[in-house]
Amino acid sequence: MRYRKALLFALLLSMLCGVNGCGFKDIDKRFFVVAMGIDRGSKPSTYRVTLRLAIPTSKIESGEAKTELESIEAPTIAESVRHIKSLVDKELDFGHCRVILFGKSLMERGVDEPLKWLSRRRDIQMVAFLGMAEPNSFHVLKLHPQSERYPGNALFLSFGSEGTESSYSVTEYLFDWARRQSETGKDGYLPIVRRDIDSNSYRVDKVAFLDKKKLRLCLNSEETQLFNISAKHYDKSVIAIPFQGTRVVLALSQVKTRTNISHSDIPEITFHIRATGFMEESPPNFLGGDMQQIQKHMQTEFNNQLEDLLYKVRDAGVDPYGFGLHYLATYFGRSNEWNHWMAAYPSVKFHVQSRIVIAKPGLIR
Amino acid sequence: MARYFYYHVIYVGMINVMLFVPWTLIQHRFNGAVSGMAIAIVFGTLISYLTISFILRFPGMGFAEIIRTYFSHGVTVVILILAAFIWFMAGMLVIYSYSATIQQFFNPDMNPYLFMLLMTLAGVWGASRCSRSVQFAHEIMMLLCTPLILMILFKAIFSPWLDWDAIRVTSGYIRTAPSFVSLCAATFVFAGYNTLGIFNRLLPAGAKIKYRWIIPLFCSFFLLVSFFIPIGFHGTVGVADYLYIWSITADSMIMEYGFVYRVLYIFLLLYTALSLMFAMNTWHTAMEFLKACHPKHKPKTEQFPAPAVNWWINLAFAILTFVYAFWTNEQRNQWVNQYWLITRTFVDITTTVLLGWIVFRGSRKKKKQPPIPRDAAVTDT
Repeated sequence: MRYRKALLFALLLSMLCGVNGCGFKDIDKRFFVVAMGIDRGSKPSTYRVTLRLAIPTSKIESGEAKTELESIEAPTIAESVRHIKSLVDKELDFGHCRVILFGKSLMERGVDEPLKWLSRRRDIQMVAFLGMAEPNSFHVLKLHPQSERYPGNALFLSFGSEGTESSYSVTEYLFDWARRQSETGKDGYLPIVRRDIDSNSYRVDKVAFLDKKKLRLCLNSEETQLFNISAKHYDKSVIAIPFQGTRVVLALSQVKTRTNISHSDIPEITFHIRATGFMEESPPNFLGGDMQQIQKHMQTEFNNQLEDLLYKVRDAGVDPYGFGLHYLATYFGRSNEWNHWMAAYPSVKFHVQSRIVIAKPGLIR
Repeated sequence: MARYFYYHVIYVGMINVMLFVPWTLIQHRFNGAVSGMAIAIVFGTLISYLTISFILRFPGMGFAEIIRTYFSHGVTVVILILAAFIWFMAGMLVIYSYSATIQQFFNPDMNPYLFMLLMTLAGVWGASRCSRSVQFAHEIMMLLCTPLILMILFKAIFSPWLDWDAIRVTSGYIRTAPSFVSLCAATFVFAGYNTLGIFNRLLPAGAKIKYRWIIPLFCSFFLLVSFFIPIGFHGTVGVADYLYIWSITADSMIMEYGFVYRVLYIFLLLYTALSLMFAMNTWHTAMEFLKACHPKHKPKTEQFPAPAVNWWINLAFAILTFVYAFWTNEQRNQWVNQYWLITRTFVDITTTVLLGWIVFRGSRKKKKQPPIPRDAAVTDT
């Protein structure tokens, strides 16, 4: 028995020999990449990769977070990342990279190769936020907002539901974008990230639409909000409608949508949307009889706004709502139906049927 | 006692992720995976119900003892060695795939054999215990895993990013003729009942397995989830690009206020437990089959210091696993997995036919000469 125990002990000890080269580096010998930007290089078919690296500090105070920006040009992204490693003193770690930005000029050329690199790398999270930087990602990432508590967190708090929740900022994850880049009948969208005019914060209030190849359409902020409500069911937003010289503003609390697509030669798309909310801005004496009238007026106005947006998106040749996929799903379509849809999509008709429910008038009548 | 049986059914239903079952099905999603799955649900349920009924006719006997009563020693040994080989392969493939996944996602600089060494050591230790300990270990592991499994599954199913349109489009391909490989792959999910071949020794005489609807219900659920959820997250087209399809799917979910916000790590932790459990069980079964090749073998279900032969057989399994790891790469591993899934389906069918035939012969013999003491065949109680 003692002999066996000694043998086991020797075995365990010998296993320690295998531990030396397992590649773990201490945390203070690592540079965490908190944001990454990919731009078009100055020469044709080159990329400019910008990495925002977190510098660890003992102080956690707003404005004290320190970051370092490194940028280099190379024919491929992989090469530029390797080259950037030679500019810094610590090992790069992409495990905490939560934001990836593409420059606008790169989007106009096409983003197939960056996507391949991002999907192939095992340490890039599939839940990283994506965005399109205007004019380019280097310019945007150079900004160092005063409100940052942790290195680089101002940018990723703009997306998702962790920090600010704005109806003008749409959120896009890497996995969703990757699927939209190849899916039949569904195209990608990216939020547009800019510097604010006074250069102390980011501005994420527009959305860009792409087909499978490149950038096709950018919406303004009003349309972006409408897109966020109708396509993403974003319920922390408002619907504002002009009414008798004032503006009626409804803060939404719940949005539900349903799409019906007819099976005719030129499919007709009926978009049902039901929005429930409470009044934030309304004409005086709202409860005194105007309520039904306002509700009806809002519905017709909202129908028109949304129909205009849908036609605008259709005319740009993109389908971020996924109507094509929904058409295939409704009729269990295959390649024939898909070809039919592609031919018919530029001339499909939209009908929006909205139902706006004013649940509460707010605290005053 | 039936609950121990259903633990096997459930974890085998879940381990399919590590045996390239979703990957195989997804590669054939437009040419026969969905119809293959539909057939597999019926076929898997049928074959499991039949085998359970057949084996329960031999209380306290394992598969080895059952065939030994009807076949000559030579035939028994051949059958047992074949069965042991299939069982051993299952554990080996899971250990290899799991260490490859871990290496890929945790630390690619790590020596690939180091993690495998840890996994095989744990597998050898677990599998060399007696059947009773292995059974109890299953229960503990299942209870530890269940909350995590439920959390990940429901997080995936109720995620707003899950695209039900893509799932619906893919399910529309049920009209295509089934593909053979995907049929075999989908049948694997139902294979948990096979462990009765050893663990029937532990069931008390006269034990019944109730609630058999659990098999079609849970296994179909796992099959549909492991095929359709990745499609819902990565689209009908994009889903085919990923090799580690479920790891990537787990990475597509976040827990904003979780201890670790990437679900991927929870998923990998869960599959550490499941893979070890699977390896422990399959190697234990393979070992018991090999031990039963000895003509005078008396199966013992409770032995405290594990006999030396257990260690030696499992050590041989560990060495074979390393040999496989040296030989294989991603492509070969996928190829071996596919052929293993196909062979396994045939072995399953053969086992059921064999058992059915033995039961049939036994009942005819009984009619001719009724006074056969049933306990004579029972070697251990």
